Amino acid sequence: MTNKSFIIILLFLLATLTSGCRDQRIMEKLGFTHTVAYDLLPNGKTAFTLTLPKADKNSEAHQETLTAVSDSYKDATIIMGRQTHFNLVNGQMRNVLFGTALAKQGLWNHLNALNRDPVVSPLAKITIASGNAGDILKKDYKEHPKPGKYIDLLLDKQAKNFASYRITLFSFSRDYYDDGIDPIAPTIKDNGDTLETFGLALFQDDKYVTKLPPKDTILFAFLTGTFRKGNWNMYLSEKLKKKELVVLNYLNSTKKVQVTHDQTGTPHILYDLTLKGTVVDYTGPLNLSIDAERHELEKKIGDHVRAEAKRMVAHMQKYKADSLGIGKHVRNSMSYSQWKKMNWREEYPKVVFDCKIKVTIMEYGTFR
Amino acid sequence: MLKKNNQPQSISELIQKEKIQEGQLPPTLSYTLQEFEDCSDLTHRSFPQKKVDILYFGNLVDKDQLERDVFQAVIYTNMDTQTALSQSQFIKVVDSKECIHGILAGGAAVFYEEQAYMIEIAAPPSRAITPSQADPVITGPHEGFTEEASTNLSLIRKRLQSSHLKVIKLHVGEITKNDVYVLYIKDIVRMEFVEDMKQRIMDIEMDAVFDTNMLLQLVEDDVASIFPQYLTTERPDAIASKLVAGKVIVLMAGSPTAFCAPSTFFEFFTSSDDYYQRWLIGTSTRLLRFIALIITISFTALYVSITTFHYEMIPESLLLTLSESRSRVPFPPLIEALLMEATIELLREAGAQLPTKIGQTIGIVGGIVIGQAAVQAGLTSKILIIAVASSAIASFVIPSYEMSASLRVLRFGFILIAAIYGNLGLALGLVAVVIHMCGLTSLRSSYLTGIAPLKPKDWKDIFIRAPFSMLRTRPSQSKSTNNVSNKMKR
Repeated sequence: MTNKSFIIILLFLLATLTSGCRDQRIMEKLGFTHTVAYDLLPNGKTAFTLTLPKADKNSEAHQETLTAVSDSYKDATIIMGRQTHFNLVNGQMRNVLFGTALAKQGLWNHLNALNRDPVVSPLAKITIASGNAGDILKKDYKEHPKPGKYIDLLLDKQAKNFASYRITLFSFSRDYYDDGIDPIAPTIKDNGDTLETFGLALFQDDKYVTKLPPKDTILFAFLTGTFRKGNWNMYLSEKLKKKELVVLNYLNSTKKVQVTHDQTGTPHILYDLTLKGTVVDYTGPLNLSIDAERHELEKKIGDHVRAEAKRMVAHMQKYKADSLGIGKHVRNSMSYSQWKKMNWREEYPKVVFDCKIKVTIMEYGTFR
Repeated sequence: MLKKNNQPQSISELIQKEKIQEGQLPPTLSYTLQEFEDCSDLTHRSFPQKKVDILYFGNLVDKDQLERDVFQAVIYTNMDTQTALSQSQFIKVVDSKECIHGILAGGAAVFYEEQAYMIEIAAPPSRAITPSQADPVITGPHEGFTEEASTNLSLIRKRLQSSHLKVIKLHVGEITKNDVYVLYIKDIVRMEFVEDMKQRIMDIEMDAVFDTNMLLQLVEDDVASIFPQYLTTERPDAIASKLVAGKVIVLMAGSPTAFCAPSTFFEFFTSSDDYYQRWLIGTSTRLLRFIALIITISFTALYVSITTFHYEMIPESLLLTLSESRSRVPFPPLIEALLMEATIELLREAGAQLPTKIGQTIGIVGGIVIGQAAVQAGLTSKILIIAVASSAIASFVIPSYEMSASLRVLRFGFILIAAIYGNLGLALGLVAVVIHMCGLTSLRSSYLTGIAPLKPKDWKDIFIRAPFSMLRTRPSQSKSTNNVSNKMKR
């Protein structure tokens, strides 16, 4: 045996024998944390609720729920570890639920702890529970034996149709650190026997300040320019006798943003948007087969969306939550030193917002 | 070695000694008979009235030819014996060694007065040409080589009717004296390869070499490597194509296998069928074999590493079934996997040793009884059965039996390292194997030619089987002096 191969074999044996089997995580001995809920308690501590999906066929229970009260999640897992024969691991964490009270106080400490753990996937979802998050997770839904998984699948499906948003640990942290945008998160609500997605929670940095109702999520997606496909229903007129509802589907949108500054330095934002879609339902007086009348509907939709958008932005400005990322456009329109000099949080409510919308109805039915 | 306790020297040494002693011995009847003492299968016909003695092995000669060319021509003729023996079929021998070899090779020796003549009338037992068992194809010729070298050479000559096809005859085995044929096409092959191979075969000093598969181990570059370094085949059409590709072919009397040198790793994943099918079909089959390569080495190892270390890697729904299935197994994943792999290897070996009819029973016992029962008894998980079975099946997809056997052994190494270091270990193991292969040579040319050294031009006949209009040059490993193989206008 040559000297070199002797050294290689020696190194291999050393690495093998000295490392032992300490780092093993044998599958059936693990409890995979699926969903964690964080709630603020009146005494300032945090209550942690955690679900583990169960693999045992013979057992009635589909999941195991553990709770602990502590200041940090890591400490809580030690307390919860006393209650189960599984080793708790975080590598399969899918969803983190925060109660409203805790969200109002700020989430960053907890999120930072999750970010620091290399095992927690950056793709774990961040969700705000309307009310108490732990209760939502602990509750026994008749049709849905695994609430954690139920929430996960519900959010995924809703996000695909832009009825909700898929906010991950990564995207939340990115928006938190980025200049000129504030994070958002989807909200869920206990609805008795079921759960439902309930609009978006808007943050100012890491603090929950206000929310958007479910009907505004599509409009929000439209203004961020990420909107691709989904059902969008609008009441063009709410008057009892002449109720006019239009439902658009298979939408396609583009976005351009112009930023100008007036003499006082206040930024003016103009969103230039196009919207193409097919009408699947319309209950108004206009005859869509006639070009002129169809164009009239297009204009009506445009005016409606413009008014709604202005209302929504005004609402955000009121709570100083720049969830749309208008600040990013403003930042890109000026030099970095100017941006640094500007206190965006104070400037934001003064911004003049307007939008220009071109609507095209591509299809409206089978019969003419 | 045929060494006995009371014998001070080995037989090969004795023969060596005799060679020096009897260098110039004239062939005599008495000496020859003494040499063949106790060989009861030797036939000795004596014709005192003609002063002629004839020696031959009755089992090795053609009876009709013996009757016609020897007895009719010399004994039952009115011709003077001396004149009769001057006919062209008789060759006069002057060396007794030559005479003995002639008789052993199936000739008859005619002793007349003090002279000896040889006549070549060999008809050793041989079987008919049958389809090759080792390399079957669906389309294309079904002929396979037999144990008879002359038949094999005729099968190759039939396909390559060119005077450029050269056949060098050599001998191996100090006792067995088997004929070895080195084939090449002049002006296509690089002569260094031929000289190298010739030299390696001539350097063999062993009492007995029985088969080509044995011979090729004696002329390999790296005996310690797990990978076979020469591609073997039993198909004359494959051999003809390797000759045209500028490779050296070695055939051996008594063996239905031929091997070609130099070979690359990738050649072991090709089959004649790839060329007989249309190119898209050929390409997809070839890609399938490389996928099979990955599955064979990695599936069970990946199972072990995931269940031992990397629970993060699998989707949630699979995770639950897997851990449910694992929860009833009393062993750690490594032991579980080794147990199943060993069972599969036992089944395979049992199937290989048994005749076909009983072999089917093994399939039933193995597949149904063991597979099903092992899961129900809680000895293994279902997913492991799937992993082990699919990697075993994948190993049989690889056309070369030698390569598939090597990979199956290599797999155990991967399973062990996966159990120790997880995916990191798998990656390290793969790196180690690739480093080893990069250093490996086949007849002093790189085993990974195409990848290292990088020859993108070769890829169209390595990873895919491009249409023939694109396969215009010989593989670069052959370093052919005449590189263009297709001059057709596109």
